[in-house]
Amino acid sequence: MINSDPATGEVSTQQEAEVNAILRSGARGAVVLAGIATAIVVAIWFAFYLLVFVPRVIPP
Amino acid sequence: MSHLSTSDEGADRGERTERHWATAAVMILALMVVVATFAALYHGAMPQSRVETADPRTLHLGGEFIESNLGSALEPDGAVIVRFIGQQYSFTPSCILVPTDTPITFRTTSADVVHGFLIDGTNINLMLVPGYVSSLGARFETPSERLMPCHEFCSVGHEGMWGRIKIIDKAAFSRMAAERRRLSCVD
Amino acid sequence: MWTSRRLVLAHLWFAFGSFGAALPLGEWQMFIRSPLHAWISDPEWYYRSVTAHGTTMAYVFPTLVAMGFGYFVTEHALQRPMVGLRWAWAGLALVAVGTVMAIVPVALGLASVLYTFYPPLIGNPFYYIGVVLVVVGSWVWVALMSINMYRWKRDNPGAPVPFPMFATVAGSYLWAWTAVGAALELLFQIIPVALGWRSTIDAGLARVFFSWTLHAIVYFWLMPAYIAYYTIVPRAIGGRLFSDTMGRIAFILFLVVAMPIGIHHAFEDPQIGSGFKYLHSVFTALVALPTVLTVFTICASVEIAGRLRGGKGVLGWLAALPWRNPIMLGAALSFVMLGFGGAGGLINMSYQLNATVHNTQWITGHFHLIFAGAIVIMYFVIAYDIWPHLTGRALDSFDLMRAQLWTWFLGMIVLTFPWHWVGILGMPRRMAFYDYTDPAIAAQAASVTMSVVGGAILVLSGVLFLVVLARGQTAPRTEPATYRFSVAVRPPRTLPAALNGFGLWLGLMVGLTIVNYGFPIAHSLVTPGTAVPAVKVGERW
Repeated sequence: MINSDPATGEVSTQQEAEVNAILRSGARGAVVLAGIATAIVVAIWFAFYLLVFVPRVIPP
Repeated sequence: MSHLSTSDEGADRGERTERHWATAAVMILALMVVVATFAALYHGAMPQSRVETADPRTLHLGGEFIESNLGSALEPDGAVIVRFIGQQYSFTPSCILVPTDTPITFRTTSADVVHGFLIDGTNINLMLVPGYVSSLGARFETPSERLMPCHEFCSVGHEGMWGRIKIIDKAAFSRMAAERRRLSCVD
Repeated sequence: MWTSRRLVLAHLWFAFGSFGAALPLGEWQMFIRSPLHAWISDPEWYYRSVTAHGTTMAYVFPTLVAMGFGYFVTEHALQRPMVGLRWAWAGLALVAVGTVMAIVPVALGLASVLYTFYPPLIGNPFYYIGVVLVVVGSWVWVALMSINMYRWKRDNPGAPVPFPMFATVAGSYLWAWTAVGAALELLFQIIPVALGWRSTIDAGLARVFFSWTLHAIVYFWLMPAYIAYYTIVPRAIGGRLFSDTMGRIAFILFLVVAMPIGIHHAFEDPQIGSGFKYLHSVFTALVALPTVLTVFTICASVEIAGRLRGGKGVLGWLAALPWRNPIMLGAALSFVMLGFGGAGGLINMSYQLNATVHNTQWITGHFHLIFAGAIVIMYFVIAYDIWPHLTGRALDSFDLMRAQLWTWFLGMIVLTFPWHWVGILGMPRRMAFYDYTDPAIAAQAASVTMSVVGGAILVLSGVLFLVVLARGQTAPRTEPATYRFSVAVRPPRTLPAALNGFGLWLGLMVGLTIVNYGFPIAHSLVTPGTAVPAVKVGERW
């Protein structure tokens, strides 16, 4: 296994408290990161539709 | 495994966020489906709705795809039907002639193995499967000449299988169609 | 306790060995059809290479990775010796025999039909029989995954099946069912013709059967990578899995919806009507959902690790992550490729948009980016993580691992981005030669050359990967700690049957298959006159 610290075998009470605190404030980082990623993917789709597909429906 | 688990409040908050995310994901995917559906209906290049068959062994003997019937045919209603076949390793006719500003239907099949073609710079893209007739509607507005490669592996000569399509002015096409039943630009 | 160590090692060495052999073939192909090389004189060499590269990379390499990793998960997630060890070795033997049986005719030029083997092109029967044996060997693995999970459930009534095993079994069922399509095509259509028992074949029906397999097989390939996202990455970086439940739901969605959508590979085919094509397009949108869920769950899991390491701010925790950890690096690079590859996939699924790119080099670029890129990089990550547990020796060339992962990523971008572009320019697939002096094609030359450079970087990266593993064989012996998987934020104490077993989902999967494939298959079967003469390839019969 390749493990970064904290490489604890058992989950400690202290870590539980920290994880609790992180979760209570919501996964806002993940929402932003995954949201940006998804937005880029959707943008690529629309870019293809508008810039590649549509102009070729009636070819210039 | 640990006996401890995160307090319910934290985990519940997490689950709510996951559900919101899932809802947003479903809506985004639904939006794409709607736009794609719109594209199909509005831009009108729907794939064929029916399945038709043709026997590759007798294409040259009788029926729609005999050699004298291949090429572009001007129909009484002004539309054009382009009939061609694919075989190892060319299309017949190898140069297809079509007019601008006209509803065109490509009707095609294979005489041997699976082929396919696309027309460069367009969304026209179709497979030729022996045993079946492929059919697709199209329309062109400006005269041009375009490449029409075979794009499916059909064995060792595949890389040499390139057709062409020539789009000419509607009036010029009509004049030619008055002289000959079936048109092509094979010279 | 750990009885399948040598079994897993054998699977993975075979997998990575075959990968190492097939990889340079791919680069040779890229080079030989690029402006950098003149006409190849005998194009049959090219198609022979494409058949060998595709067959190995699609049917042999990922199957062995899934099997080996599956046996690893069985013992380490269920924490007991696996049942059926000898059967497992027999399954591996079948895969080995099948691989050799298939590759020999290909190498001799008797089966240059490509891994998609579109009839009525027909090659030597041993190619197809070899592929069938590989699949049968993998079905032994499917049975063992299932048996081991159900024995554990019987011995642990009411307990939640450990998530890594749940996901692995889901993947195995998906594979078993999706392989049926190609199996029907091979057993009832192609092999009888290849053996000379019949002389005609319904090419359209064969394509429908193959499409049954062709989409979900990529989800089978994806399973080890996604299992690693959920069960290895959070642990490796010192975090927690954000949601065990969402993970199970994602794998259940894959099981049910990955399969009955294959007709999006046949949007331009004449043997299927537009109604079913549209139906498959809509269902394909549904299979994007578990990936979108996964992206969030894994980002959230990684965020926990980042904040535990002191990261602050909405995105500031990204800087706190252990970027020197090859698992962190590999997963992040995988996600970037998953994003771009996924965008391409969404375009391909969108019915009419598919016609713009079908059978152009966009398609080849797409599946290299998503499979060879996002998925295979996770195969490397899995290998790096579990190798010491297989060999009992340290694997600590971390600099080399990071270099290998970076070169795989960069090589893949340089290979595939220009590849997508030439597809948009209209470059057709599967040609041994292109006349770049033709003004209509000249614009493609620069991009193709860039892809050759990308491929060369990948070959280097592949060599680095094998070097890291080889070094592991001679490193000092260690006693690795007991292998662990990631721990969920809220590990389930009990689970509803629907999240702990597969009866309902298998029923849905079969039902959806009947709805989505029943009519197209039946229609081809009852329509007369669709069987066409076989066209045999290869010089000697």
